[in-house]
Amino acid sequence: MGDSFPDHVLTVDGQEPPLTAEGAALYQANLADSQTAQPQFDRTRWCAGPGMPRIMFMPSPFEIIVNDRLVGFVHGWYRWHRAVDMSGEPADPVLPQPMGYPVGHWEDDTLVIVSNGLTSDTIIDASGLPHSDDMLLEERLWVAADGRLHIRFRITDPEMYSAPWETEMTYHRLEGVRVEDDVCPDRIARGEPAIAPAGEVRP
Amino acid sequence: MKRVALLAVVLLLPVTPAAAQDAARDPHDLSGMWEAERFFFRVDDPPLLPEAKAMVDGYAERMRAGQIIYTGWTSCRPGAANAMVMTMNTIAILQTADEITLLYEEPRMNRRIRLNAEHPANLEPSYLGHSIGHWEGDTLVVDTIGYNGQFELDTFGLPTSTRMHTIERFTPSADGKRIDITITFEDPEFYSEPFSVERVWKASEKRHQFDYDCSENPRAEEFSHTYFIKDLYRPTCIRYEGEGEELSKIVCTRPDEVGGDEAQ
Repeated sequence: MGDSFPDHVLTVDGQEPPLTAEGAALYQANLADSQTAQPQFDRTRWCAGPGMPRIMFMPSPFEIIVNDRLVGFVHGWYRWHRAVDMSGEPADPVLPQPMGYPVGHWEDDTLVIVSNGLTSDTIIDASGLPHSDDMLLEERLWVAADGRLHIRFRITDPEMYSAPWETEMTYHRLEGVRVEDDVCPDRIARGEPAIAPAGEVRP
Repeated sequence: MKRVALLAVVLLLPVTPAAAQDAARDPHDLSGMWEAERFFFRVDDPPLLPEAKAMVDGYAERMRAGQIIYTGWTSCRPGAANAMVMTMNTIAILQTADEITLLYEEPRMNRRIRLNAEHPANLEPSYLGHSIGHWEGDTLVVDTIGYNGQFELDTFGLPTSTRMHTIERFTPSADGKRIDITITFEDPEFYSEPFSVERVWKASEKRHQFDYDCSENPRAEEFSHTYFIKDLYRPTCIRYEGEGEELSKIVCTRPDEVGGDEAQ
């Protein structure tokens, strides 16, 4: 579970991500859209997938299951998951999709996952930071001495950002807790938000 | 071996170092990428009780009249038994000493099978139910109860209830290239006796799963000639196509704010 759930992510230096002119225009449009009654920029509102990396910033737990051929991420938001290919071969994306085409390898005790083929239908964070279909996402995952999982996200997307940039999240272990089934359409049918506020998340 | 230290919630280690489809694999290791041999969209000749048969016949009549029948599956809330009957494409299996996790591509779903465990006494009904498994020789037997009765078994609307009980028998081939699966359904609420279907999963060379994103495009035109088996299946969000230079738009409204049954 995340130690924080940023609606807007900043770089590791606490700076705004370096948007290009095109990226800035799109971000401003998303910010304006967020003030309307039926925002269109955030597809999670109608339970469509948040995609990577946004799902890692959301207030829902996840589990990681390490096998040799696959590393699985089982998310607590509407049945999403990722099966990271550990074959050592580069990704071979077909059509852009929310979770992309993740491939992983170990560098000592750090799991490195590189994903491409991430659809621009999704956004990077809840505030609406955009990305293109050509974004390359690198994640470096390691566990620090205090037991917390760290993930450093590196985003390379020349269409939307003038330079690669990085942000980092930390996560804590929930002892004895399992990720249970979550069905978003039932939640919004009850009039609840598609993404539960951080304090109301029930793993 | 690498220090496997990654974990946000629970750390789960692999049982065996064998790759999923190695020839010398552990017969009790199903981990890896699998693919349904073919897609089934119906259960043939289920032993429906008369009232249930009348209900299903009614859906068939609506289909013949040109209506779309909306089920738990098509309303993006399928149950585990849907995946047993109608799995499409790949299934990623992850395995640990005490649990098997199945990541289904379509319908997108994460099932957990607790090995050598018991069902809890007071189960809260759910779409996935509660699954426990054990090995009988080289066959994995999975027992699931605790369904919520809020989904149909196939595209023709076969009903399910909270009394449904399923038993899956997964038998991998000796070469690890195939799993033969027999699923037995028991639901005295709607069926006169247990019935079974057979399925086959093949070892897959695919390295990535397709992200089946059921909710991404709730098109208004699809709902205009739809019959919803349950009110729950009515869409909360609908996409309206723009005219001229107007952009298309997805509008979310709670079903109880809309009222009526105009979509039927």
